[in-house]
Amino acid sequence: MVSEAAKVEVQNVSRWYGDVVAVNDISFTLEPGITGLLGPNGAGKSTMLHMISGFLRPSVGVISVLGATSWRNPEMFRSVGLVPERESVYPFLGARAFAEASARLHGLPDPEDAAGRAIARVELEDAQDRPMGGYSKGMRQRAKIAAALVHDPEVLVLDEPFNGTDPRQRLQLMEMLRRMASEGCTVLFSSHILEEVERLAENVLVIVNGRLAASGDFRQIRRLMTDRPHTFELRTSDNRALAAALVGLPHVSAVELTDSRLDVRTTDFGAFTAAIAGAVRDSGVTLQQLRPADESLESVFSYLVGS
Amino acid sequence: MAQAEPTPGAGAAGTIYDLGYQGYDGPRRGRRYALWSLYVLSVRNAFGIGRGALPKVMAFVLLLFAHSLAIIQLILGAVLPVDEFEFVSPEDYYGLIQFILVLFVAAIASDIVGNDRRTNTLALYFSRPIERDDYALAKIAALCSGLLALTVLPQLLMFAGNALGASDGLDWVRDNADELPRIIASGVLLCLAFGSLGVLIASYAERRAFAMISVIAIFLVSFTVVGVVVSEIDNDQMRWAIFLSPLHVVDGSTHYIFDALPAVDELSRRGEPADQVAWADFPGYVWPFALLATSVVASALVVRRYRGSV
Amino acid sequence: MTLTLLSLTAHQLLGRRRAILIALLALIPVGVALLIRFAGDLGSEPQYGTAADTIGGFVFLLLLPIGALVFGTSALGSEVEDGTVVYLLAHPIARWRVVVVKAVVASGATMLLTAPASLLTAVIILGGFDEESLWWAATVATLVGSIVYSTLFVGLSTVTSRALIIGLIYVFVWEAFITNLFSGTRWVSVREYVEGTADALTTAAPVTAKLEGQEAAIASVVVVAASLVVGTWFLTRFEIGERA
Repeated sequence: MVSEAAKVEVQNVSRWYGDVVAVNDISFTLEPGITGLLGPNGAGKSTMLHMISGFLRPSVGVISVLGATSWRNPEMFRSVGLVPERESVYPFLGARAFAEASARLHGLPDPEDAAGRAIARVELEDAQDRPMGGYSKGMRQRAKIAAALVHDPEVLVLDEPFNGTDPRQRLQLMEMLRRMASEGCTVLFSSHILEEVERLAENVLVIVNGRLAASGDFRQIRRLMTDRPHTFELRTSDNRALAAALVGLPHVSAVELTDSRLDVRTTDFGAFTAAIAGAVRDSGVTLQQLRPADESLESVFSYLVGS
Repeated sequence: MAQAEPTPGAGAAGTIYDLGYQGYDGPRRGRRYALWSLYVLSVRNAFGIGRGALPKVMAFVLLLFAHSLAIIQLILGAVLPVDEFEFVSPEDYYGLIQFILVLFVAAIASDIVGNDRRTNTLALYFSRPIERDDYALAKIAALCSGLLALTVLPQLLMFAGNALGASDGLDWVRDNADELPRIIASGVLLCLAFGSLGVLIASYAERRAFAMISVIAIFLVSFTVVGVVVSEIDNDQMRWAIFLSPLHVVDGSTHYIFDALPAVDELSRRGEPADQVAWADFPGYVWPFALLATSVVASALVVRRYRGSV
Repeated sequence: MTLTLLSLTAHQLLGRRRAILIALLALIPVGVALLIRFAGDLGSEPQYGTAADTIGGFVFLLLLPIGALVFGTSALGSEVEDGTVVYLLAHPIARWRVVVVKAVVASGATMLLTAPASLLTAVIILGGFDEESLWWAATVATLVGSIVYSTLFVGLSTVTSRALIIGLIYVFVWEAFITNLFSGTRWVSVREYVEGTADALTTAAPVTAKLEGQEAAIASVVVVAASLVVGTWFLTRFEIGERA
């Protein structure tokens, strides 16, 4: 049973292109507040967001936004705002005129006023009358956001909204989204950058290879991510002697000797890094190299989907 | 080179690890092979090989229509009891399918030149052993070869079919043997001129759509304008206007090569393009020579275009 | 709402190089007409044959379809290509309204650049507004053709991203090549509607057509309506950038 507060509801949704599966059996619900959709490039984040905003038909499954199916339902946009990922804008319009056109297309009673407020929210007043063709990436991003929230949407969907923004703009946009969320707006944004999601989202959905890999409270997931087994590669003067010593440590789950290398698997990143120096000294070998084998974000993600 | 072994763990702030990448010391095929690969790739692209369904269908449709008259000729020749039946004669063939040829040039030129520009692969090509001149010439060669399939091929097909349809095939071939070099010469000249002009126009257009429309506009507008102007204005200077229309020049060249330039009478000016060419009253060899000159100049301009900033 | 849509589309279509390209193209028949008038042997009688050849050969065969192709396929198509169509569609606007507005603007732009070319060409060659109303027939036929071609290509651009090349094949292979060979296909050739309209409105003998005026009118209405229906059908099912 879905709670009353659910604004967006995704049920067993899959989407494939020919024989490529982009989104694979994903279900979740969104409530007011900020949710981050996190995943590496090509994970299916955009596909998911496009389906939620009615620009892609789910191959199977149901998506409802504010109680109605999103596919083939333009009326939904009365209370939904979308910031697409594509950078292109109408080059001949200024941000103000762009937001105003958006307000008029929404049929708002006072489009000038609505556009003015939206531009103020993204702090783009300085450049509001210059044609957007000459904008920087960050300015375009903000102009797009202004146009998307001109009608005070209940649900705001943003595809990679921080692309091209500088750190200061990013903070400012985050602050704005937080304020909207505190006013009861349901914000869903995608990002492939862990830190962005960490700083903004209280709730997180992790998508890897089209599947939902994790969801829920961010801190909880972050802990799960760091507590996974880690692999280190070592080169020493005597691999075998060190291997013997390491096997004795409680958090070392496996050691493997290859031609010139010693691979060590540990269940506790912190404890292992603290203990390794002592173990090396005690066994009397010389450590020539020590490095983690899999520290990329992608490897964290693939750990989460268990591959 | 040989520096002190970095002490492990002693403040080595940055290290580059040997991940096993190796340089390539084997034999290299060199520039000529790269050029050949680019040419083959472009020809394949022209017919949609290695591309999506739509380019394939499009190329097939244009090929089919370019061959349609030859096919009709063969079918009628086989069905009708008349010996030596001629539904379409070889010297008129290109004139009848000229819209299809122009469309093919527009579509393919904008594709093989425009795609590299749009996807920014042009810079990648130029950072390889392929040189700028090579690139330009490979693209022209690719379009010209593609065009051969729409011009010389149906002509040869028709030639073969007519021979098979004649009551004594060998006799027919012996009588018409001079057609073969004519078919090839006229077709090759057409392909060279159209191919180089097409690439030239497309290489100046920023967008694909713009390239396509420009090629079509330039070929067909010049053809129509010259046709109307020559037939409506009785003025000796108008003879020179014919050179502005590549389609007229091709007509002249083909008819000259087949030794079939029409006789001139007072109505020629208002007649078919071939009549108008005959009316212009230049020595016949001017037409193939003009096509050749067009090809050379256009190719040189394309080469120049790619030597500049692209 | 509709006004905003109109002005956005008009701005996109006319504020760019494509409008200049078509305008230049539209100047050519007028220039040819002037050349014929001042350098040719028109005599004092109106030369209906010359006018019909010039307008038929240039405007109906080239300028009109190319202009409509350029405006029709880019009214919606270029927005789909560069992704800005999403801003439009992320609003509570009925999709039929979007298609109709795009078709209206594309038709308007085509009319604006082609109809004066027809009118001027006719008037210049015929030395004024002729008694056989050829000038009137040419202008009205160009207006009708602008609407039918443009709407057709707007509809086509909702179906495929390669509307331009398909439209070119339709115009220059189907209409110019096939319909010339087999007149049975005249019902599916917009050019025949244009010529039918022109023929019905003038008494000048050199203007001939394969379709009657009424037939052309009915066929035009059917094509416009079908294009709008098809366009709406596909736009309501519009999907963002399918991955290859």
